Amino acid sequence: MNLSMPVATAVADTRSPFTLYHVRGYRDANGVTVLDGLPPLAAHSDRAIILDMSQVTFLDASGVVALTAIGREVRGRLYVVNLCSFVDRLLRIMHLAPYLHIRDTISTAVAEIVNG
Amino acid sequence: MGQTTNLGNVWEICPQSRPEREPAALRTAGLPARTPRRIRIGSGPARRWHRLTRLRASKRVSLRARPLYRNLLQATSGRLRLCGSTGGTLPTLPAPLRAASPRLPLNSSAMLAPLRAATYDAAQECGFSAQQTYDLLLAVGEAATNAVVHAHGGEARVRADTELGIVQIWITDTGPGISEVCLRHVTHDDGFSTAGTLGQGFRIMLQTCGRLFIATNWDTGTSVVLVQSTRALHEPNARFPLQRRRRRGERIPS
Repeated sequence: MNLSMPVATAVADTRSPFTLYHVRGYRDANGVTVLDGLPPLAAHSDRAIILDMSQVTFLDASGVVALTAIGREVRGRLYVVNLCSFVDRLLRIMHLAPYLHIRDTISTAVAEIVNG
Repeated sequence: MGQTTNLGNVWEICPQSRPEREPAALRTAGLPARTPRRIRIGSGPARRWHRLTRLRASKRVSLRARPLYRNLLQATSGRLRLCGSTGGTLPTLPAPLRAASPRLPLNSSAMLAPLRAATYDAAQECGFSAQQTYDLLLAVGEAATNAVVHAHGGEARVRADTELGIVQIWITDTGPGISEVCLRHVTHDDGFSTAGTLGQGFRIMLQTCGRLFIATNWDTGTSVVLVQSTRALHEPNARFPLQRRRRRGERIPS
């Protein structure tokens, strides 16, 4: 997992109050957990972040630590959307659902951010 | 007041001149030399008394652990089994399944990959569903991480019975063990950790595994056995043990 890698999948608009990232997470052929496309841990404190997790098929506690670190960086304005059932269950087991703002779709999260 | 000199307390004025404590050799001068020897317990009644004392002490420890065991069983819906040594009042670890992977060392987090791969293979051979496989991989990762973080390493073994559809993951370490207080905290308190981590490892293991056996001791370390099965494992009612439920006329499937 590399938190400082360049984010090629981010959809950013300087006027919008949020940034959307498409994250990929999986267990590779060697059994190592990979989580790609996370935002860097800097300069995101002024806008919310939406993480599209539709491509995340595997996530363990180390990945959750990365998510909580981002959530701390943006002062809780982190929205996690499009979770598969495995990841959704893990986050709910860990009681992180309210903290990470789990939403079903991107549009739901955007509406919530725009409406305050 | 006349000048008095107390030679016995000179070191109080001049700390540098404080006399060193006389060495042990001087103190025992003139006494016959003591050679270290093994303490022998006398034969017959004395030896039997010594054995009985040790047995009583171990039973006392087991009895003290009983309320904790009952408490853990209730709090975890029967999933967490605290195990003890053979002959104690606590149950022992489950019988290991025969088909086993080679011993996998757990010296660092990088060593989790072969363990996960072996677990995944075993789960596929046993016909686990995607959810069960994912759950087992999560639990294995947490248990192995605990061994690396808290005990500075250990070893793991994956055992499987493809006919019964059961996978056992044995993770052992020689660390300082888990105290009763910590066991109570990790099962009851959210986010409790002694290593500055998220403190969710036990929660994840208990929520994702069919059974979790733990045998922990300060001198022998900790053994954790994760059991996952294709069939639903019998969930005992912690408040009403099997014997009492049978006495009440309830039919318990074997």
